[in-house]
Amino acid sequence: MSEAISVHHGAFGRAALYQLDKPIITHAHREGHLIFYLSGSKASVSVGDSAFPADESYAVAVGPWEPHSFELTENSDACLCLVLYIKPMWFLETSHSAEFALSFGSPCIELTPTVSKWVNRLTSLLLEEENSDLFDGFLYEATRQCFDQSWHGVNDRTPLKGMRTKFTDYRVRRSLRLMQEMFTDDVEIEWLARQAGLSRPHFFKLFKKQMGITPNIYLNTLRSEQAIEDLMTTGKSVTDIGYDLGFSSQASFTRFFTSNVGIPPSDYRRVAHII
Amino acid sequence: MTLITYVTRIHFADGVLEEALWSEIKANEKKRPLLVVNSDELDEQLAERFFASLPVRTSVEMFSDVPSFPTEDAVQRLAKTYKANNCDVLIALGHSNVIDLAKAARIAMVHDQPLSVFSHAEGGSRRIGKNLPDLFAVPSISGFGAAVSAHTSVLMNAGERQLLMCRKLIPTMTICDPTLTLGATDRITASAGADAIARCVEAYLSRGYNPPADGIALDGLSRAVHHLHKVLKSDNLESRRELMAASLNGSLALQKGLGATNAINTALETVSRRALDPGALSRLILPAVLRFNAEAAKEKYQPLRQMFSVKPKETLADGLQAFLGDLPLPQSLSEMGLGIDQITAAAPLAAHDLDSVTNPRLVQSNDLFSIMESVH
Repeated sequence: MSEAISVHHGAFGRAALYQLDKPIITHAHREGHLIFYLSGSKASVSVGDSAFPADESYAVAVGPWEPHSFELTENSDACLCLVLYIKPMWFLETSHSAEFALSFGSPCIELTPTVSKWVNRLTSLLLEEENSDLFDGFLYEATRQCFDQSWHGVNDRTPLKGMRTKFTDYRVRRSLRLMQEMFTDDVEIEWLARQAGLSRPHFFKLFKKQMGITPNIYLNTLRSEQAIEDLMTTGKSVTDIGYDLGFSSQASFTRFFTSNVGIPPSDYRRVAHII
Repeated sequence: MTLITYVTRIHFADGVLEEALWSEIKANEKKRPLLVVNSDELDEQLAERFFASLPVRTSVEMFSDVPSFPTEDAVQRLAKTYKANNCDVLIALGHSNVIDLAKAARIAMVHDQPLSVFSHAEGGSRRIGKNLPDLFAVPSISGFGAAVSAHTSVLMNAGERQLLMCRKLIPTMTICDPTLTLGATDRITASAGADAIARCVEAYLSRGYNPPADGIALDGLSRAVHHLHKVLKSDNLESRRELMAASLNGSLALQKGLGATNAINTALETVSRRALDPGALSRLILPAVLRFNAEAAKEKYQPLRQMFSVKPKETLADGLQAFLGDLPLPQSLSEMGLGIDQITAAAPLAAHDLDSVTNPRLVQSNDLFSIMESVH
């Protein structure tokens, strides 16, 4: 079973050490994402329509809201990986491009000696399981190195052009607002489509085209985000958090959280630290 | 970096509205924003964008009864709404009248004294406390001056217009998203472009030693000159972005001071007691002001001549007039509904405006009257 070894939450993001032995379904989140292979089975991360290796030579970068999934490429054992989640604010404060402020230039990151150095430092810090004021600095440097590398030599930004269409259709925007307001209810896509004045297939297609993800993934993202926040900032039981997010039982909430975040919610709360 | 930190914290990028607003509300732990917006400006599309950018469990109130320029009465009503709803941040979205109103209302939200107590002319700036509520400004195609400046003016119930000026009035954070201007009409776009050009030219030429402001103004001017006509020919995001950058530059540079054009704009608005299109006014007034200033500012005219590709035998004023001439804006002050009586009343007011003091040549009431009359 996949498990979390350590999770640290910092000022502009979080870092987690995961032992993953199962795939993670296609999902997206508001945060940017960096996935570094550490040991065990090699893995592959699909970003959009392409798959990228996570192994001794390469890490994978995923921009905010980019759909992605994770799978093991070897059947041997679990994959130990370091996973960074970078808040959109970091991109807004660091990005060089007024056109594509919220994205990496390329998903494929080479593990240069400098990148590896910061990955090792972060990993050591997480294994110490102690709060450290070094965390934010390490997370910043690791992310910065990867971000700069991802934009190096990127001349053809055609793959990013699609991002320009984001938020351009008012029907999609309306559905985003409705989902934000009602994500704890049992929101049916059929109903959302009707509110947007579209048929279900047309709504699905339009939403995917504009946002890069399906409405279901967007709803799951909102629920995962809120679940993590509640786990980290409230004393509510896992069962109550699940009920408040609209799940009918702890088991269904745990299943949902595990398939979207990678590990069960109780594990997440147990190992997570806020810096 | 797309975060600019001159004067205040400014997010500038395509489509940045949603994530910047979400991130700033979240990072500052705001739960009850009060949205201030012109009722006719919050169309369905903008409303959907705005509401989709709020973090979950955020409870938003709205104030849309915004006059065409800030009045004492509206300031008090806005402050009352904010307090009655226990709001914890103001979000002013739209033109300068919205952002300026929100700036002034911040004072009334924490002080019980009449607004006139805080008038700059009465030495009231130092009476403005430190704990003003946060204000996030989101200028649309205009409103940049309000979004990055430390002043606002309010029409008091007694009838006079008073200046409020204090660094604490600068919005806490500003979001500049060029996608908000896509689809704007030619008239609105031309006005925004002419306004940006006038601000950049006047800030650059204004008296005072402020090399950073000069650099910002010239950069903004170059962007506006290259992209204003392009965007009018074909709406495209790149030119929209450059035009917005020009508007922002002009507004950042105005802390150096402006000139007679802006002094006239303010005075005409005061005497007509209605909001006037600043770009339309500047397009008419600026060439005449450049003619008036030609001798006093001739050394600084050279870079401007190159920028506007002015021919050797032409004056800068002629070149600028030709550049702005085909914009779809009114051809005269009378077409804007301004009569000779209003020009006569505006001239002495403009002469006493702070922007007349920084005009490169000493300018008096009769000069200002002649400038206005020449384009009436």
